[in-house]
Amino acid sequence: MKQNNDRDLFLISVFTFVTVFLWITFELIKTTKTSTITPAVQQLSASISATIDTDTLNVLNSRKRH
Amino acid sequence: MEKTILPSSNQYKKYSQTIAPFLESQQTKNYTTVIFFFLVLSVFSWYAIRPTIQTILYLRREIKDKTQIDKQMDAKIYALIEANANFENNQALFPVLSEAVPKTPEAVDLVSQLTNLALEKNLLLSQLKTADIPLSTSSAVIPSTNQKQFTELPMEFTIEGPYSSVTSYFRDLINLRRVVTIQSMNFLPLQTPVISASGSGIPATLKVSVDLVTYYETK
Repeated sequence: MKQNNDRDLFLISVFTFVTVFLWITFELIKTTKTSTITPAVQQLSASISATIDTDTLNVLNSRKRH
Repeated sequence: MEKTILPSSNQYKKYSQTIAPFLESQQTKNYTTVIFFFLVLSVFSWYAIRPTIQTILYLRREIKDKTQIDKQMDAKIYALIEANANFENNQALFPVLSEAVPKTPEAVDLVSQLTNLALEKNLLLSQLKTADIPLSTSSAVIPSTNQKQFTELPMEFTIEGPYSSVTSYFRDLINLRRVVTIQSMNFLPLQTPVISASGSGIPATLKVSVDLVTYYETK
């Protein structure tokens, strides 16, 4: 009977440790994967094209106004 | 005689004497050591190791993200400088954009252009109708990203005149600086055909009903 109690307590402690270890692991993975940049900063840093479609502007310029 | 609720010292002694052999057992000692090792390790991991490693990883991720943002911002600054230079070089061309797709409906201006063009081509323009035109739009409304950048303004009119003038009119119409799209055209020969010199019998004048759409910027 005493031996069973010891074994149960041992198993509980092992499972507790495994649970805590997995919990910490997943939380650390989440921290690594989650971006720290806010959506507003992401929007601000979005790349823009510096080219201007001068062909279209020239076509429009060549059209007449009556 | 009054009975005491708390156990006497003799009873405690009896309990400790009962437990003592178990505590002396080598197996119990081993189990206790291992159990407390795992429990202490769990508590220590949760309250000490986890926050430390989490802070380290968060800061490393932040450095990586900030470096990336820095590079993107640098690229954007260069792009803005380049765009500004391009804008300066082509500044003379930009007013045509507001003539092609104005900020307001400017229906009167388009009607005037259509009429002037018809007069130039010796055509009779009639039955000109436009859709309802908003006189003012609320600037407080923020357009959603899915909203179109322009608003359509339908128009319809009828022109009458010689075939050659009509074709010339349409050629110039599609080359108007104000962007227009012809939706449909309905050609009707007039009742009084003029026999041409070749005698082909082609009606000299046509009546054309035109549906077109022009555009202006959505506020």
